[in-house]
Amino acid sequence: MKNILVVDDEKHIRMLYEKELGEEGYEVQATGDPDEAMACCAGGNVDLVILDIKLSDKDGGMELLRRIKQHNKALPVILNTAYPHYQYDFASWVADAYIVKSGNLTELKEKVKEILPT
Amino acid sequence: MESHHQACWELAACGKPECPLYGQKAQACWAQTAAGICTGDLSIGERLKKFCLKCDFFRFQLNRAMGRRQADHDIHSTFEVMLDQLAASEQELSQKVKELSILREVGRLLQGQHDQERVFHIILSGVTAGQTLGLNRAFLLLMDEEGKFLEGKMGVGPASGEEAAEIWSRIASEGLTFEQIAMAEPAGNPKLLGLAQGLKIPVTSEAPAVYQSVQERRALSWPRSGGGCLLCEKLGVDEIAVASLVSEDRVLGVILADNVITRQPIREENLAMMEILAEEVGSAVERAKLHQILERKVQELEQAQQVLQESQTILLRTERLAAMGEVAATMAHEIRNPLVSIGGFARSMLLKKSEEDPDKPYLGIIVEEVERLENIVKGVLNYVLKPEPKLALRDVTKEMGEALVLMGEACDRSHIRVVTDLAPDLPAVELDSQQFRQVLLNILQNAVQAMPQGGTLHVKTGIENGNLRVAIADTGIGIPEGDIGKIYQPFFTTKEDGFGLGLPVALQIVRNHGGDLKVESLKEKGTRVVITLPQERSKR
Repeated sequence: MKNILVVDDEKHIRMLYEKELGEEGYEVQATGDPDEAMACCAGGNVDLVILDIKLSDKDGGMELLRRIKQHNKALPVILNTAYPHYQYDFASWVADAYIVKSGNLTELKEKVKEILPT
Repeated sequence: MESHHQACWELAACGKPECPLYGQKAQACWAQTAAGICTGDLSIGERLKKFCLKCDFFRFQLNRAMGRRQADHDIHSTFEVMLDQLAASEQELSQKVKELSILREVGRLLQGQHDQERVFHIILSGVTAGQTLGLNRAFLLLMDEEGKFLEGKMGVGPASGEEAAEIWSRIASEGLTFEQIAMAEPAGNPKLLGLAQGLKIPVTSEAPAVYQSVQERRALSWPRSGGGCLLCEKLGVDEIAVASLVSEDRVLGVILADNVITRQPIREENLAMMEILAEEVGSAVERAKLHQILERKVQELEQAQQVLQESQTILLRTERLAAMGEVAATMAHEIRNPLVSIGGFARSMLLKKSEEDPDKPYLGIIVEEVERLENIVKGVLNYVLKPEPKLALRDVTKEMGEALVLMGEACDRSHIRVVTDLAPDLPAVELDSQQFRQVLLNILQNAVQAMPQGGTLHVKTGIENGNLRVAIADTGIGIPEGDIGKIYQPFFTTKEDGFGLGLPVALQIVRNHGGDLKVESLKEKGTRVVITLPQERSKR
């Protein structure tokens, strides 16, 4: 089973993604803490990261993205944020996908399937 | 003593009772200053000559005063000569007084006068002021830019004898003052203006009067009989007066004057007057120029102030909008996250409800309404946070210089020699400086990484085929031929620690600026990247 790490500081979003992606057949871990997320990635048991940009500190997601890619360039990351404008930021281009958050998870699920075919 | 002689008032046959000497034959009338009552406004000299010397009583008194009983013929003659001289001196004095008064008026009117055309009109009016004192007509001719021809610009005075009679009688009947005449519309008499504008005189010996006046910078008269007087012929006069106008040691033009109506000869006094008036022009023109410069500066300052005020208004508005934008963005974000949860869970539940479930339509309403709210939030965020390119006029050479400074340490570390050929005076071009810096740094970084064992980095800016051109070349490992086609694709990289975004980002930015980026490479020889930016975006 493929492992997905959800990094978001909103508890309800984490719950939603755990439920929805779990039902799609993925093993989902979720955290709002960047260091814990980094530790998970370093543990090697993560196949995909779904990462929010605005974490508890301002642009924590971007910094975490840099750290993850520095550690393992091959680990796919989907940036998932309420803000559309980060896609113009060069730093965000290193992510594998950029999806604006929505209550309709169809786009996100399709991208996950594309990256992690079941 | 009873006198049998005729008294002066009898001789003049005026017999005015208001005369203080009326009825008194024994009193010496010539001693009375009030005698003007009978003899109009004649001067003392004229009065003596016309009346007193014919008066027996006056002669009797005169002879008696001189201790002679009989009038001495010689003395009488001598006295008459003296009287003539007195009359002439009186006339000269009166003329000088009139001249001085005109000069004083001209000086007064020129004070604070900054309009060049008006200055010239005042001067020409001064030349022609007064029928007896001035010349009949005056013209202004200004030097062309090459200093080869004098071109007529203005004329003052009558165009013909009839017009002269009309103008001069109107001046007399309306009692026009010098100021009223001098301050009249400079365009004035259309016939004379036409005549003036038809004058184009070469500053050569072909027109000797003008040539000599300009060369010697003085006023002079030139007779038609002297031969070769082009102006006399053009203006149909026997004699012409010319005075040159000099300002800051440069001849601006000349004043011409003639006596086309009265045909009187031009006198030395006329020339002296013209010379003084011509000198006034020089200083008045300098004053006018200074005033113009001052006015222009004031205007520039006013415009600058206006621009500043407008900028301040825009800045205030922009700051307010930016503040509102930040608030809107924060609010939108705060709202969006709960909306995602509500909408997500509602949708999840909706999909699991059977068609018969009575709650299903209500869940559908929640999902739809959340979608509507999400769209509103999306619209706000898109509007508020849309990144606008920050374009400003930039010097590409300067941008390159700054990028090279940033790369200096990396070059030193890798023992890379930097050779620059940067054009110093390129036209400024509209750029987003931050983005363009990113382009240069990405390319320079690639070049440095391609030369781990050292090498030479060639950097050149300039203009080619009308485009701004930036070339960055290295002597590094080069790109294998098979990979050349892939280097613009995102995430393609040959480096262990690269993301494969440097070149695609650079290309995207350069294209957004309307330019292009090309890469040429030979394996083990090196790589050259050439950026071209169109000149039409540039502004000097």
